[in-house]
Amino acid sequence: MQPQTVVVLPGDKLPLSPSSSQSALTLGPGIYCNPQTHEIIPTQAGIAHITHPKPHRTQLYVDYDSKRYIPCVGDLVIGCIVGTQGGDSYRVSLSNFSNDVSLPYMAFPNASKKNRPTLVKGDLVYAKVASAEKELEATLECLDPGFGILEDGMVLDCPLRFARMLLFEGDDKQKKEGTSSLLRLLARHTKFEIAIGINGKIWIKCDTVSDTLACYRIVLECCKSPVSQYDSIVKRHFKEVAKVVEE
Amino acid sequence: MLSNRYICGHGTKLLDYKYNGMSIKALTATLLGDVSVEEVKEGTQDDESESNGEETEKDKEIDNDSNNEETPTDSKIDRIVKTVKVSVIQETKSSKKSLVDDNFANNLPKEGDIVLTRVTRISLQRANVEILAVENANVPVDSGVGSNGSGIVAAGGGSGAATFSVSQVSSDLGETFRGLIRSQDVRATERDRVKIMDCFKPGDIVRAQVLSLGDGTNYYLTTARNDLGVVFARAANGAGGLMYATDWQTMTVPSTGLTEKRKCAKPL
Repeated sequence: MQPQTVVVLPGDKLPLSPSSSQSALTLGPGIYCNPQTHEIIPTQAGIAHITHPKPHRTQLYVDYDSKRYIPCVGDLVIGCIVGTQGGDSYRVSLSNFSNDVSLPYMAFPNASKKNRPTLVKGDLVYAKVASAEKELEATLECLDPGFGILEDGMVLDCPLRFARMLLFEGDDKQKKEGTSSLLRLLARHTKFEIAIGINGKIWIKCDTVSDTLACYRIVLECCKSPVSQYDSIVKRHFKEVAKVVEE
Repeated sequence: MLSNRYICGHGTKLLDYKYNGMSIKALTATLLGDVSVEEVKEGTQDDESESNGEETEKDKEIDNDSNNEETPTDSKIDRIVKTVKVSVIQETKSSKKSLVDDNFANNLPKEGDIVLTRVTRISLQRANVEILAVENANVPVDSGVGSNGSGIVAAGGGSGAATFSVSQVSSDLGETFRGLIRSQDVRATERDRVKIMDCFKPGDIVRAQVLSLGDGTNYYLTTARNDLGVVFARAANGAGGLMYATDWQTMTVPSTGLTEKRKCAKPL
């Protein structure tokens, strides 16, 4: 069966083929199953993707844009330590005016009761969402290498879809090279480190502050621009920064 | 030798009176209603249960002859002291006012009481609840639903019907008494491995016992007993159908067959 993509609005009837009613359904973001009638409807406006990764298995989700992040298990996020709680976990803010999440002291590599992590209020962490029950506050973990404190650099806020695009574009083998290669374009001009949080936060760090600033401005502008303009945006900003440095 | 000792029950108070230059201590009614007496100590055979009419003052005089000498004639016969509890029961049926069955204000939750609560929020360590009703200890004589008119069948099942004092305050305004069930107090076994998520959900009606009055903010409650736990719950946090306990940690929606995990009170 072919994957389907249709534009849907909240409450629309989903174009599910009758055969898919027999297959196992996996519901993704933007899809709601009424617990009383077992009706499946979209709750977000966007592009519905209906795929069949295996026979007798159907996946459904709506690709919609938003700026408000809701934690889901397995997400990679950038958070800011805002305090401690109860002597066994940090409180972490993933986005402004949202509920804080918790990051237990034991969710660090080599952590023990005596050996505590040394993060302080205001530190940035790159972490993975370990649990996200809707009735409870979510918890993070920093267990694998690569997670943990992000030192120096700059953080910017972006729409969630842009963050997803940046993080997952490499995974999509079918896409042609150069179509969404903002990172590749940046790499032509400077060395940089980047951490992408699905919660709409991007952290960038270069060797020099001027390069960091250029990258910051580029990513900020690219959030609102079509992919075709990325090349010119990157060139323009690096040129501007170079001019300032010369002066 | 037979003598009675009267102690204060619900709705009475021991007060000091001055009369003829003497100080007299007397049981005094503090509520409007019928006087009832009940013997508290077991062992004696005949009890002369006197239920007087309405009295406002000086119900009975305490006989404070505890310093009497033992009867010198026969040492075999000990003094028999019957302890009688005197209390005032509010008669709501007779009064025209539409009072609720057993006023909540005169039956506030105290240590050991069974209460019905609603879960307001949960976290990893505790479940916050609000107290909706206190289960009354005094079951009517015939323990029937008909005897007190608005009897509610005991939530925890068992025989007969318990009565409840229903709180009349608004939960929207946060006027209800709040309680707290810590994860250690959820069940009696494996106390340190309790996951609150698998025991309670917001909106569940939980039957619990008061452990202590706690601070001014929260009562401390426990459900570590077979007949305590979730008694009413809906699936999907209230969006789904009514669930029934199928075993002590599973609840099922009959129409869809969906199951959720809870710490259930013992089913009927």
